[in-house]
Amino acid sequence: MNKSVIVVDDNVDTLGSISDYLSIRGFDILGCGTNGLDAVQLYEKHNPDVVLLDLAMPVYDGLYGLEHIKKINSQAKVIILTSLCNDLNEKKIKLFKVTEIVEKPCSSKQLEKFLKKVQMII
Amino acid sequence: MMLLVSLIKNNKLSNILIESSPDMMMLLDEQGKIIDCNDHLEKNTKYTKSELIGFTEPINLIIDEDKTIIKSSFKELKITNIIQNVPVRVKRKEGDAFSSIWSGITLRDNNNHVRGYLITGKDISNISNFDQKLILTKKRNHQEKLALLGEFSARIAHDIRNPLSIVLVSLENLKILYGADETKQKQLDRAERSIERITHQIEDVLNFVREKPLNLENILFSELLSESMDSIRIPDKVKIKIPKNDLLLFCDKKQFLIVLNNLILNGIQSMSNVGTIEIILVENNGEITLQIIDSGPGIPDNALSEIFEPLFTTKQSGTGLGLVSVKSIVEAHGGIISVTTNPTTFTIKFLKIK
Repeated sequence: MNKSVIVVDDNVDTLGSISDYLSIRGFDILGCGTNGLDAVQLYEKHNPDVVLLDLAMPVYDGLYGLEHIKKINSQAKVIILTSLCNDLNEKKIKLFKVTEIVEKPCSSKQLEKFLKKVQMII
Repeated sequence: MMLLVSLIKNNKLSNILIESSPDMMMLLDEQGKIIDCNDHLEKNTKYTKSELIGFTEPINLIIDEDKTIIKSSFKELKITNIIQNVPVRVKRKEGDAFSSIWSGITLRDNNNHVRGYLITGKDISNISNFDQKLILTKKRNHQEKLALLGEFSARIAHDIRNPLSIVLVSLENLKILYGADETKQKQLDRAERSIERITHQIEDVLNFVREKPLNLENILFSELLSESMDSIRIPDKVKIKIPKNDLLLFCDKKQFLIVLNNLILNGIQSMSNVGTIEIILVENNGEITLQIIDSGPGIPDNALSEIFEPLFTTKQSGTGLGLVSVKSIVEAHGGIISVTTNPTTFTIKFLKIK
């Protein structure tokens, strides 16, 4: 059975290219969102295997999404995809036990490697 | 001249000429001893007039390093009758010195015999201070500009990363969807390689301007190396010989990856994508030695000494920042990096921390 994913990024092009890639690679894209609140609502609705989450988003950012998804399910698999990985962010993220932090720009090769890792964990 | 000589005779010089002058002035006799001087000389040197007139060797007013200048100038004065703007530093009574320039004329009588010398000097310490201040201000402006430029490049580099990421992933999608045909694949590969090149250059800039504290952890070298090799494109005709042994390193993983990525990529580029890169890992008496050796043409001698200098590059597309970051990361880990040529070998040595 295909693994299911939700993808959240405020940039529609990032969102499109990554979800296209994942669906080509055989993942089921259950939903796409553009802020942290979308992430939480999509997670609640679909209960996906993995969440791919951007950090810097307007109003409800990735940290909001991460925190609330983990409240719903502390074992939720979340991959943070970010170009804003400073130490402060990293510390905050690590508090929530995310599965992986992937720094942008990342090639699909790197992304796939992380997904494989996640697949093994699921 | 005649007037001057008669003035000297009548000892009226001090009243008329000397005291009204904005310069330091002194009158020397034919032997070069001070026989009169003005207030300015007293004020500047902090000696009293009677002390100055008692000076049998006026040359002792000059700091030791400048004495030869004054000696040769005095010789010249005797021959040419006039010298101008000789720069020397004059010692004050307290021992400190000030910058000054001196001019002199030889005073002769009707029979052309030397009767004395009139020496005038200007205190130029304000001007020298002004020069120093100017240099300091220029330096500070330069540093401020550099800092601003660093911040600016970091921002640009950062903003470029997002769109680059999109282009990379979209290209990958295109390759999967349409790349079965070899001609199409070639085009897409070319675009992908170029994007990767931009990415690496941006990484260079970001690694250079970002100052990050070390986040040390124990990690196996093999794990670091495989992560590094995953993140760079290794051309088909490049063979990477990885060490058979393995060691646990205590280092900042992200930063050490920057070191490995840079050294391996440099190797690949210097060999023009064909050749072998050998990685050697040795532990000896608690010291770890890591060597990265490529089969490229070597580094020209004139480049060897400058290879770790910021902005120095031998590559057409290099930023000249990669190896600077490598060196600073190695040093932050308490290690040292060196390079030798034929074959090009980067050697990193650091102590194993248990």
